[in-house]
Amino acid sequence: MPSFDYKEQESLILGKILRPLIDIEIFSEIEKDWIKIKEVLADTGADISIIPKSTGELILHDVTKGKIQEIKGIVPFARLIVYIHELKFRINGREFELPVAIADSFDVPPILGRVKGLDLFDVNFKKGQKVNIEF
Amino acid sequence: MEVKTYEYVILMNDKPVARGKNLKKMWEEAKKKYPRKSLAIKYEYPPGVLIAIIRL
Repeated sequence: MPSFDYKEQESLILGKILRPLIDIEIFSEIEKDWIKIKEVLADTGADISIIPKSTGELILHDVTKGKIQEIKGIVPFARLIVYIHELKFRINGREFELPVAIADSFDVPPILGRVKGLDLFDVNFKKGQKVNIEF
Repeated sequence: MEVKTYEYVILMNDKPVARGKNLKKMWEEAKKKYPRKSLAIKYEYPPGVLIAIIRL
């Protein structure tokens, strides 16, 4: 069972905080190989997984070939253009394919969301210290 | 006031070997210097409160 320690990061409001960040791999169509992505936010509040454009450009020849979509967050009126692609992810050797929103922005953190992502597993957020993922 | 934004870090066996904003260039350079399998990418968050609720 993969287990990831929460990682300490800085919040302007809360000071040092711990976040549930996990390590994944994404299969690159360009390199025909897996690319390791460290410290991806495991986010049950996200309907869909998301990666920044820069990461998408290492994975796909043309990010803009995906279905274009506008996504929203909690901030009123804020919108983000994304391109939806089916990508192969791997966690601790376990492969799965899921819809991923590739942001039309470099300034978006990588997030593993629920649909065909976290929902595939039993994910246990252990008292703000560890994320355990059971396949 | 300096506004901190995102940065990418290239890790080689979990040790940072490059840091910056141009991930593609950093990745290509790292692949020339280090074994491909030892490399990983990390997105470094700017300080702030991260609220990630994403709706389609």
